[in-house]
Amino acid sequence: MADDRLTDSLRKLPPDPASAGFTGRVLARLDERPAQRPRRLALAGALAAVLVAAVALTAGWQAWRERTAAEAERRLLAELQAEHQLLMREWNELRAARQPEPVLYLGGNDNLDVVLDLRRIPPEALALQAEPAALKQRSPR
Amino acid sequence: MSEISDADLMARMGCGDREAFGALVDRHKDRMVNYLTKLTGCRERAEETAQEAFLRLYRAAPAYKEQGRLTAYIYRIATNLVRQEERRARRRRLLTGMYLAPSNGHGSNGHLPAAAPQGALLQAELHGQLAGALARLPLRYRVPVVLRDVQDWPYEEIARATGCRQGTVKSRISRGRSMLRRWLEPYLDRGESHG
Repeated sequence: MADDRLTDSLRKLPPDPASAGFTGRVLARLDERPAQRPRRLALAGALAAVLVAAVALTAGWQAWRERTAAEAERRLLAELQAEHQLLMREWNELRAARQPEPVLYLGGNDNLDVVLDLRRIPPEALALQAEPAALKQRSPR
Repeated sequence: MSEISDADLMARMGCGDREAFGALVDRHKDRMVNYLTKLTGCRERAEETAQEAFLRLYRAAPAYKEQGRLTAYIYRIATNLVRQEERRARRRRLLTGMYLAPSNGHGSNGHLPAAAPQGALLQAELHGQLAGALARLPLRYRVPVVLRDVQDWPYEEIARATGCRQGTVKSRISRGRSMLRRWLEPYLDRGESHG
């Protein structure tokens, strides 16, 4: 019953026809159309340009930040390398200064020391192969 | 001009014939504006949307393939426009965080006579409430209810215009009516006692 009443009321709703001059307004808008579309396109283009600019600015700022950070890291590394080289040089000088002289003590007494200064032996003599005595004794067999 | 079929008018519109377009608009404008007024609850919005729907139809005319479903096609364009607008409004509400009451265009259509007898006053109040309740219905129920109960369309045509099966259309109409009945119960009962 209520359903009938509802559908009946819906059917009896007063009609709302188009107002006078509706068709004329639609046709007029048809003429406006070409002018409106480029404006909308221009607006869309402007929005897109702003968006692209924002993205480009963000990307540029990011790249600048990364470049600055990389530059700082490179500078720090160069400083560390220079410091390392300086330390190595100093360390080598120190080691060279502390190295004992290449001298062999052969024997001696209170009045005399017999030493062999290896720096005075020519390098070719040092290169000669010395044969151990023990091997010499065994070799005839 | 009135003897010319919609299909012929569309074919001529496809070639840029404005006179044919004007004839087609003249033929469908009243029912279209009525449909959209009931759908949106606002006369101004309805006229604006109807104009836009007709303009879109004109632009689509060159690619239109006649299948004897032009009316359903036009109403589909108009309904999609309403759907888009309601989505935009919903997004706006979400963004602003404000709840805006549905447009109050309904009930302000000037149907209330200045010195009407009690029966007419009740009838006018019922119409106002009905229009308001219709505007509150979710769009998926509102469209088939308006097409069926206000525009008196057959289910088959509603199914074409909404792109749904007839069974879906019937169930949505039933659901929509039951929501309307629940909201309008006091007015319908009162109307019955006076009617």
